[in-house]
Amino acid sequence: MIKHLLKLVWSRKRANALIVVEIFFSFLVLFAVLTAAISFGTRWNKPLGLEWKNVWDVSMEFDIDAGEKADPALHAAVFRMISEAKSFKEVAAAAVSNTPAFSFSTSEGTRRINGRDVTLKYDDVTDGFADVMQMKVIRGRWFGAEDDASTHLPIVLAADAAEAIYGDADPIGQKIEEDETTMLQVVGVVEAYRKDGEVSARDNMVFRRIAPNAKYGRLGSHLLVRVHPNTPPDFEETLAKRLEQIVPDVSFRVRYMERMRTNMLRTKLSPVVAGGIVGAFLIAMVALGLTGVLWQSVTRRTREIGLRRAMGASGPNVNRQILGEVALLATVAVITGSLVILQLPILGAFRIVTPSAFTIGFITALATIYALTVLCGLYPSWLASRLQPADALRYE
Amino acid sequence: MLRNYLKVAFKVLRRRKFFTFISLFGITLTLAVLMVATAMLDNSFAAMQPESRFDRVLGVYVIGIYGPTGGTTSPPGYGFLEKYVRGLADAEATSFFTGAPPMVMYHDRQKIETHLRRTDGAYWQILDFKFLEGGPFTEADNQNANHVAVITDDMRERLYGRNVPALGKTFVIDGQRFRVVGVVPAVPITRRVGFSEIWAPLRTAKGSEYQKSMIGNFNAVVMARSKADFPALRREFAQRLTKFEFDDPSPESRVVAGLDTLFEAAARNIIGNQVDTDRPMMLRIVLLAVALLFITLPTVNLVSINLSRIMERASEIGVRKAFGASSRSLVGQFVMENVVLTVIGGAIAFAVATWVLSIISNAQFIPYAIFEVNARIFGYGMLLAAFFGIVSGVYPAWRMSRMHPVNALKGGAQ
Repeated sequence: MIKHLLKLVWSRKRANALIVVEIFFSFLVLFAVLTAAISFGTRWNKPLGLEWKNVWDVSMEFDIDAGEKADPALHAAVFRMISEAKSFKEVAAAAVSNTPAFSFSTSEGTRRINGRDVTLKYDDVTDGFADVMQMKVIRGRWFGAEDDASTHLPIVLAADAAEAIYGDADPIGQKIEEDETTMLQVVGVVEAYRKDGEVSARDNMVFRRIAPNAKYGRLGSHLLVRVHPNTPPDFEETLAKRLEQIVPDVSFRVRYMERMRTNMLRTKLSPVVAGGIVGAFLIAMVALGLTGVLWQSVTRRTREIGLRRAMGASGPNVNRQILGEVALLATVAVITGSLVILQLPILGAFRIVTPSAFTIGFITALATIYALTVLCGLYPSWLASRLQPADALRYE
Repeated sequence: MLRNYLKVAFKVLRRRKFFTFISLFGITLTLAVLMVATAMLDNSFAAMQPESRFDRVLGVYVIGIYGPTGGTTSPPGYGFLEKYVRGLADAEATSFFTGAPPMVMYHDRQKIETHLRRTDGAYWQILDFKFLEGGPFTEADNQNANHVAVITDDMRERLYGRNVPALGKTFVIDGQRFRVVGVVPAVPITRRVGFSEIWAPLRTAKGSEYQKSMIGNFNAVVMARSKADFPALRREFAQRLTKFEFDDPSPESRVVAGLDTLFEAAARNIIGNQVDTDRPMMLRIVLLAVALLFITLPTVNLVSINLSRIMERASEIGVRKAFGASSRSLVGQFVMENVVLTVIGGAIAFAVATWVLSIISNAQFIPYAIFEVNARIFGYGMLLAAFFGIVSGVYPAWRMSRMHPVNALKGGAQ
């Protein structure tokens, strides 16, 4: 049966080649769109490891280059801003961070630890940060005054970072070399922290402590303030005015983290949605085109089909033949497409999508493309199976 | 002859409506997507108000200072511009200004989110604003650090109410009180130099550290008398950069900067400042490659539909061939039919693109950006349609013209 179908398909290879090319490209488009949708879909419901409601971000306009120590006066002024902010009854917690959640600024680096290359994201924070973002400590402890005297730079790892660096081993107390002069020492592990919120993939966050006595740590330029729910918007102006008095030379602005989150989601999801819409239209166009071409080819092969009917093939037999041919064409296209897609992991696709999203995307695309091509063949093959042998043979 | 082709073309299109619909659907979709993309690109790079003189303006938007252990790519600092950009011989006007970062202000117990750009007096000569009220501040205002500001009509509405005259009124931003001296229409955020909501004199900036820095948050634009002066300007700037003073000079130290048009600036941004090739050309190639990749699937689809449509018309072709029509005239006829189809599709796509762009503009995904299709976009669109029509028509036409008359008369080659 299959051998026979192959022969039939081969004899019309030029027309079929075009169909195969079409299905091939559609398969690639489907795979891309579905994988993107699935990887965003699976990320969406995972816990964030942070709470963005009622957090305000006061970003200050000063730049400190990497590795450079902040001016001691500025360092002191920033810590005065934290305590000043906390003195308001509307404020539940306040802390400084360098690259807060939803802020589009990221400090990222790949380093070799225990013989493995690990990509980590960093943030420099003060002790109140865990309270502001309402993070849960699952091992060890968060930063505290006991770290003031530490000879190493204390760090807290997010659970995914701890797993990436140490696997199942206990990370507490472990040391990592930062540079020639500084050692990092792990004091605690918090729940996986997803910096960009719902659209974040694996971040591997590492939090470095900013010491109040300026002994170590790099000053951050964002003051994060958690206010009590239902704080009136007026308070924002009061807070801004007070902070302005402390550092009159620095420009700053207040943003709600809720707004920053909306902005982040919109920026990250718009291309996916636009791509999805265009992809859906492309697939619809191909489906219509395929139906047309198959319909046309059935009309053209009236004589051949008539002959088969006259020689005793039943309607369902003919039906199966046409659908079999379509499925065969789809198979050729899918095999070629799979060869292309399977190269992607070698090119580093797993840095962008997880292997599971990749696999599920591949399988869904495969199923969809078969369903679609068979669906396109249904009407033409039904037409073919209805042909009366006598009519078919007379047609010329 | 041509009229005959057109007549046949319309007859054919009307004969098999399902096929015509499929073809048109594909063509419309493809061209509409390309037109929307073109309109958005055009909106960012074309010389549009208030950047309408930008066909003779070059800018320094990003510089890179690299040494043996890496380096920095960032907007230039004020010190850099003062030292290496001020006073180029062929410049008619030179302006320095900050970026337009988001700012927050409190006005009448209201929180207002806005953007503030600090500029000098020359900015208002190079850019072409139509003032609704008052006028720009001057270079003297800048030198004396007068607290005066120009705002947009949108800002005026948020501060003082709709169409309330704003001249002489004041507001506080960044802890400084400014007096309004001019009001201009709102500018889309996609205009790299023209965009802001509030403009204030450069010298009102806080602190004075910025005046010395090489790296910072400043941009410069230089207006030439005409485009012909661009090479001379660029030569002089490159000449000055050879004398750049590095903090820690070493053989690997280099500074990379250039006087760019808006498109060149985008190319520098996307392709990378350290890449030494012709960046604008590379960006064009990348854009073209993306467009071609996108167009592949619709083209294959259209070719295969066209191919099956001709086979249906085998007997017509047979008759024409038997009566002595040359292959060339058959190819001409078929390509013509296809171009007619794609041009119709192009016209529909134009309508669809207008509609989609109005949705994008109204939703304000990009603040104040009004995406419109204009005569130029329409021209691009029709060119695209014709190109698409020819590409997807040539192969089927060639197949058709090669058909043997006898086979054709019998109903097509098997």
